[in-house]
Order: sequence, then structure tokens, then C-alpha cells
Amino acid sequence: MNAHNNLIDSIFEILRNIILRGGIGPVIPAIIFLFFFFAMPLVVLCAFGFVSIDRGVVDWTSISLDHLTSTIKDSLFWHIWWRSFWVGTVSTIFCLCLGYPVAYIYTLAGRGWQILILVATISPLLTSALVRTYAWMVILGGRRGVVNSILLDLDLIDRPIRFLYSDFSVILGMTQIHLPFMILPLITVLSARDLSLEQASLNLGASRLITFFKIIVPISLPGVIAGFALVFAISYTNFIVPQLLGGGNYTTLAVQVYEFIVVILDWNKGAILAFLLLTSCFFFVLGINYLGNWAMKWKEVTR
Amino acid sequence: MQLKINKINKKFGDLDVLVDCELKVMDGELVTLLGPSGCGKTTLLRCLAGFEIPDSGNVFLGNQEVTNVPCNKRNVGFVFQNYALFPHLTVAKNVDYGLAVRSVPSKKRKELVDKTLALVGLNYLDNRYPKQLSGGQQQRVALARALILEPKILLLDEAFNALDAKLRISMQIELRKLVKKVGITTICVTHDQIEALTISDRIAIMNQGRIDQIGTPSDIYERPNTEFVAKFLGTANIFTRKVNNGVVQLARGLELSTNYNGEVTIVVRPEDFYITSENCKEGWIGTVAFKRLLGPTIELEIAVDEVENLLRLSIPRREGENLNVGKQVNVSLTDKKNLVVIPHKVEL
Repeated sequence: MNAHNNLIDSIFEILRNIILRGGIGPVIPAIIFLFFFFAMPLVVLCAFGFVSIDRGVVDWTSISLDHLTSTIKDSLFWHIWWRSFWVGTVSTIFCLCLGYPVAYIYTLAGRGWQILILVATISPLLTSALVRTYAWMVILGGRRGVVNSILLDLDLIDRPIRFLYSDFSVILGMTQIHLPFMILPLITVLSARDLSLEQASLNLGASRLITFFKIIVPISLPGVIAGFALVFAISYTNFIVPQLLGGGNYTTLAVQVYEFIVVILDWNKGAILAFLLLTSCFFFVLGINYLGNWAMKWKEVTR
Repeated sequence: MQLKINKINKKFGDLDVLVDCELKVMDGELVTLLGPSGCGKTTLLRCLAGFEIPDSGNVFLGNQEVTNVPCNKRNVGFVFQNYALFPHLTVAKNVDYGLAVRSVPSKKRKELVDKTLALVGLNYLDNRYPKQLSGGQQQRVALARALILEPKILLLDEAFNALDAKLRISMQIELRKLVKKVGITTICVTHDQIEALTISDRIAIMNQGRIDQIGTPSDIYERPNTEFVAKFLGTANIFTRKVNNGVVQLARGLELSTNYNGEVTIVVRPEDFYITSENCKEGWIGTVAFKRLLGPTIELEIAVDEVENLLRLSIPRREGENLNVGKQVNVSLTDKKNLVVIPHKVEL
């Protein structure tokens, strides 16, 4: 009984320390959660790529690199990888080009407009990406699609244009769905900027355009890097958009992972593709950050 | 270059920020706009730089009216309160910025940057980033960045605020020497009276959007126009008295004649009092309420029955050594001529 009370006391003591004393204490619950429900499954998934699985039975003694080597020797893999990379990069660049003006205008706008921009940016996140992807199918679809039916009614075209199931529709959908993840970090950085820098630039005789490119853009680079890394990571690994807006013949690495694990049930192949997708994504994000740090070496200097 | 400000008015919403401000600054003169926060001094400076456009009135630089000229077409040097150095550019690139956007040939730019950095004594730091510099060094870079364009006038907005007290004084002296060497017309904004006294040829005291008084530091200290000016620059003992047949009774045995009628404000500076002997027939009798040593002088506060506020005295240290708190003292004036009499405005 006494020992029992002591145990409860010491648990409370530990909790008190975690909550009140700070340090790494407060993140321990999150670390435990992520360890069991994120890191472990990921390790298991990746491990499946290096053992043989026969009708759902894993043979843990048969560790080999066979699946890995056969996959990276396959030219089809590289073909699909290139499409993932290309689609991710292009839609990220579009997100940047579309998101930057929005974030910049946000910082110039009055309070009312700012709220409007923020609501317009965040509210799409409240609906699932799947629903938004279906919405694009309705908009871009064949004869009955919104765009085509308007163009047909106006007699601007004779036959419906084939928007869906192309690079165009995939990149369009991805850009729209991921745009908030670009706008938000940019708003954070741009609205914290020191306005006197712009006034100083104007005072030194620079035009507003030169001030924008020589002062505002370099100052906002941390937001650009954060947004770029974030949007690239989710575009590169997105499978809903290429699956639905790309159609049955349009595959990316993420789509392949889904196909092999859920449809074909070849867990070995699916796991090795997932492993390659995640590690390459990790290194791309690392590379983006490295480039960012190199471009922002002025931020790191100390006296 | 000469600067003329003609009846500038500016409102922010319903608030009158500047009311009929007029100022004329001679070529090569250093004028300080001095006033409490919110008096409109920074807004006036920003009107000169073109960051704000006045609602009415005109600004002339030399013979040219610049009231509505955009801020990037004025060639007016501006040193910001936080210096606003571009953090992503090195010291040399910061100084070079104005030349680069004017497409000056790069060889000439290099020469000018070296020359200007040498002028402020920083050429050995040209490859550093602003974050790597001390506050004083950052201020010098900001000055160099403005001066390299040979601006028509130089404007400084609370430029010494970010420096610690000791460095502040030496940078103020250095600034005055520098702008006199360059010969540029300079307007500074500050709320710090010591700074204004240190650097200025003339001081303009601002209060609630108006310029109350313009004059040399000693002019303003010795002959303030208003009670506000008297209190803002230095310490002032204020007495409000009624004039009777051209005579004002200041204290026992202390009368002075004046041409004003009605109520007047009499200003006595702390150093114009002195401690007299006990049997003196004129002045005030009171007790020491507070005493502090300020190096060469001692500051005393003396409570007198018939005077509302404590009298504030400043006397040489050796004369006040045994005047401790609670001691009764007699106080008089060294010379009645030093008094300032300000008539009260007649309310119509």
C-alpha cells in the first residue's frame, strides 16, 4: 500500500517537473507518442523492403538488398521518380510565384482585408484534400465539366478540351491544394519585417521595384525557404492528386507505393518504393535548407 | 543647402500633429528639433524626407519647392532611429547602395565608398555584416550611407537613442565635428536636452505640434518664451504672480518692475539662487527637503511655507557641504536681471 502511494507520488513529481521546470521535459509525451505511432511503423514499413514476405508471413531472417538493387536497376522506376520530382518542383515554383504576391499584399492591406486574406487562405484547409481534388474533377471534367460546358455554351470551342488526366491538371490541383502552406510562412516572415529598411532604400534613391527585389525579397528568404521545403515535401509525396487528376495511367512514386501495398499487395516492392521516396524527400529538404543557409549566411554571423 | 519650411500642417485622422510649423535653416547650420514624445518632431522630419506629405504648407530646399516630391527623388540623407542598415549586405555594400541604384560606374563607386568609409573611420570593417558591428559603428555606417550621395540636407531621427550613455556623448561630439567638416545642413530630432545642447547651432522647441521657440542653446536657456520651454530645457522654478502698477512681488523684499500687466510667470534657474545668512531681509526661508551631489554642484530641494512647489537650487559643492536634510536655510537671488518674466496670454 505504502509502496503504491510512493509510486503515485513519484509519478506526480515527474509530471510536475515536466510541466514546471521546462527543459526537454515538456516534449517527452510527444516523443513517446511519435515513437510508437510514427517512427516504429515507419521503421517496420522500411524493414519490409529488406526481407522476404510470403503470403503475409514475414521471414525476418532473410535480410537482403535484392529488392533495393532490382528496383534501382529498373529504368521504369527512374522514369516514375523523375515525374514525381518534376511535378513536385513545378507545382512548388507555381505556389511560390502565386503565394508571394498574396503574402506581400497581406502586409500592405488594412486590418479588414488582412482577415479576409487569412480566412481565404486557411479555410480550404478545413475541407479534406480529397474533396478539393474531386472538386477539380468537377471543374475540369469532360463535356459536363464546369469549364468545358461554359466554353461550349459560349460557342468558343466545338469539342470539350481534355483538361483532366494530364500534367496540367495534376500541377493545377497540387498548386491550389498546397498554396496555403506556401502563403502562411511567407506571411509570417513578411509581416515581421522592418519597414524602415524599405524607407531607407527609397530614401537612397531606389525605386519601389528595385526596393522590392533588392531588399524585401532577400529579407524574406527564410520564409521562402521554409515554404519551398514544406510544399516540395508534400507535393513530391502526394498521391491523391496524381491518382485522381492524373487518371489510371498517370503514376508517380507515391501512387506506386499505394498501388503495390493496397492493390497489388506486393509489400516488398511497396516498402522499398516508400523507403526510396521518403529518404530522397528527406535529402531534398535537407538540400533546400542547406542552399537557404548558404544564401542567408548574413543571418548566421556573430560579432 | 538652405531649408525653408512654410506653415506646415498635418493631421492624422482628427489629431493635429503639426500646426503652422515654420522654420528657416541656413546653409551648413545644425538645427535640433527638441520636444517630448508625441510633439510632432519626427513627423516634421518625415515631411522633410518625403515619407509624409503635409496637408498644407511648403518645404523649400534651396530655391526649389519639394513639398510633393516623392521620397526617392529628393536626395535628402536620413539616418533612422534603428539605423535601418540592410542586414543582408556588407558594410561596403550598404554604403554603396545609393550609388548602385543610380548606376554610377563601378570604379568610381569603389573610390567613393573607400573615401566615405575613411571619413567615418570604418574602412577596416567593409566586409562585415551590420549584425557584426557595435551600435556606434552601425551609426557611422548609416551616416556614411547617407553622406556618400552628397545629399542636400542630412536628417537624423533620434539617432543616438540606441547607444549607451557614455558612447552617446562621444558620438554626439563626433557627429557635430563630422557634419561641420562636411559642411552639410543638418536637422536632428531628439527628446534629449543634453543632446540638443551638445550638437546644435540652434534648437527649435516643439510642443503639441507647434514650434514654441527657435534660438541658440544659450538664447533658449536664458530667455525662454513660454513656461513649457523653460521647463523642458533645463530645470526651472516657476512662480505665477500678479502685476500691480508695474511691480511684481516675487518674495519677501524681492520686487521687480515690468512692463507687462495682469498675470506673469517668473522663471528662476536653479543656479540663480544662493544661500544667504540667517538675518537676510530678502528672499525665502525654508528647510532642506532633499540633497544630492552631482559632482561639481549640489542639487537642493527646499520646502518653503508660502511656495507651492519645492525650490530647486544648484550650488557649488563646497558651499553646500553642511546643508543636510532638515536644516533651516535662507535663500535669495544672485541677480534679479537673470529672471525671466513671461506674460500670460490674454484669453479673449
